[in-house]
Amino acid sequence: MRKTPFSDNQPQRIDALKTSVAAQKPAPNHFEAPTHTSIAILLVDDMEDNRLLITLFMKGTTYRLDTAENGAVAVDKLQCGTYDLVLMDIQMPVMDGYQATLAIRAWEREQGRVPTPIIALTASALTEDVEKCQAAGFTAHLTKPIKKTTLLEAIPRYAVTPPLEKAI
Amino acid sequence: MRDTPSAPPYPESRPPVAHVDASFEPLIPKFMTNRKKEIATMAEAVIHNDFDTIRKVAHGMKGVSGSYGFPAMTAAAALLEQAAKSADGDSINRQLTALASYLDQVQIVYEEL
Repeated sequence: MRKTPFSDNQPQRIDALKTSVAAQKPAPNHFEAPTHTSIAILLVDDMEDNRLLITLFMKGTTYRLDTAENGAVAVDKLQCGTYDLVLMDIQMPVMDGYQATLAIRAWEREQGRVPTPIIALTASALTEDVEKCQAAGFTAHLTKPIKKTTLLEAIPRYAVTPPLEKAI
Repeated sequence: MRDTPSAPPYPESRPPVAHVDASFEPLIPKFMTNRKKEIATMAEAVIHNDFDTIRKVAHGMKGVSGSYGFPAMTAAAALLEQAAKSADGDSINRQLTALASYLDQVQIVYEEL
């Protein structure tokens, strides 16, 4: 089996979105718990246990977490609400993560919107899976199991900074 | 030549131990219940040679069990997923038996990780 060089569970940026605001940010040397930044996150995962765990990870932070149980619900929520970051599982019923991301990117192009960063949360680090993520328009890829520190470090690195925070 | 009986996957004298983050404790009862349901789902699916269902359920179990701190379950789920891809019913049945035994016997140690 081929493995990508980033099977160390660190988030791996996918260079498909060169225009992303997050791309211009340097990677932090260490994680500092957010104290003032309010980042709106949409978590998309069909497994309730995963949603509950990531909700637990967010406790004590100022991140605002919304959830969707499949890609179709996520596309609807993205079109009706504003999110700074999407955490997207791949294998889901109704609409999987690849299809959902393709649909979101198509809608963003149609609407002339800045692409929302989308991080893939997958149980596979195989090269072909990462290439599929890139082709679908994901911003980055994070391999399960998801560790709290890794996730909380990835969020400010990839999220679109809210306008208020940009001015500070 | 004397037959050597194969050892049970998890001998009663040495139950498997999982070291779990203490903050996860409120989530563990539901986690365990859901994994038992998944084993029942896969056991039903293998009867009908529904390997696609087994592959999908095992894939989900592989991801969630690792995140919660059950690496032995992750390894077993990965074997199940692979066996489902190979449509290997015998291997699936062996892994399901081992997983059911694991879930019944595992001792959870909550730690400040």
